[in-house]
Amino acid sequence: MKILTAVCIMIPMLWLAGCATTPNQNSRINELQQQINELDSGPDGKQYAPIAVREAQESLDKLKNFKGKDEQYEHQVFLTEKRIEIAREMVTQKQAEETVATAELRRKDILLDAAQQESAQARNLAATMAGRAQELERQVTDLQAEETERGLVLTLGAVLFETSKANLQSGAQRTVQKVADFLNQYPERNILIEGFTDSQGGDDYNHQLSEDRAKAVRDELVKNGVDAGRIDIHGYGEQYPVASNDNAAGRQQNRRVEIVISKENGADVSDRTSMR
Amino acid sequence: MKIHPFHLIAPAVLVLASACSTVQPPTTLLTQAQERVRQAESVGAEESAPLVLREAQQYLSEAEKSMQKEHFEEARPLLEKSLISSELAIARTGSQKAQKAAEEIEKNLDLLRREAAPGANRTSNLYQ
Repeated sequence: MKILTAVCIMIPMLWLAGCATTPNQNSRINELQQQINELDSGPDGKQYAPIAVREAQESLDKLKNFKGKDEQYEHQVFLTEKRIEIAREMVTQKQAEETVATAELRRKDILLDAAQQESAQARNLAATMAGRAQELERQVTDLQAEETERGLVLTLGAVLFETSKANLQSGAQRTVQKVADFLNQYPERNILIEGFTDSQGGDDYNHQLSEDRAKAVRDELVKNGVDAGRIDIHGYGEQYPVASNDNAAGRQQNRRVEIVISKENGADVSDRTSMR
Repeated sequence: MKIHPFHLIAPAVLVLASACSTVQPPTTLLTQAQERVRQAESVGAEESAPLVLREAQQYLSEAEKSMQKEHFEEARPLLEKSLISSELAIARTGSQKAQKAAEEIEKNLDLLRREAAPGANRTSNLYQ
């Protein structure tokens, strides 16, 4: 009978031993608590699934105050772990649903942003155009250009050339370069270069000289990046004088090269002969 | 005194017998667990959370076997395990669906952001 008594005493003892919380179980509880704490709130402190999180916490609380058999304890651990996983899924789901719900708002934000950026860009463009128009005006004044029916006419005076010579003087090159810069800003405009002489010398000679001078200006323009295809040349000799050939001052005015820039993009400059 | 094996077995049998006789069959829990597995299957857990669903199904079938043997004490925790596994399978399925929708939206917003950027070529009709 002694043994039966011993067995009867030992069973409850083993039972009790199972109930006592071991350090191992404590670290497990801490670990689960940690997982719940991480779930408890999103990065912005917002609770996404408060009920599921509370259920997980209640399940863990049961574990903390657990009094029962080892296998029952393990069962409660199982349930708690699952509850935490469920809460985690709920949080993820709510966050994803929030993304979907706010999508319309964000879509409008993007469009609004784009519209604002576009109007700023349009304003910039308008300002640039206005600036360019002003610049053009200033340059025209600078080059002493004249608006005519045929287009914008720039007159390069005879000082550019030595008498009876067609090559440009060194000082003239800077003037031509300025013209080239101007032309390069308006690449669609075509150009006619016209050469003129005074009445001294024979017609053929003067005609050839006027053409050579026009060519010299063309070559200089091309050297400065103006597309040769845009440029026509014409030598008029002593025709179309702008001043009297009776005195030196008048003759100097007549020795000249005129650059005519077309009014319209792509249009050719009309010839003098076809004008009148 | 000679130890008879009976002396060792008797208390154990007594404890078990007393446990069994007082436990009621957890029929409500069984119905709940069966329904929850079906629910998980019907929301598409087979595709979104196959492992957890299988777990729930296995616990349920073990519980059903225990019920047939009238081991109700054994069946109860199995049913509880099955039930919570089904719940997890359902939650995971829902969360994966929501995540997929969110990803899709995010992709569309990205596309819109790129297309709405000034200077971008507008090819699609996201502006309706």
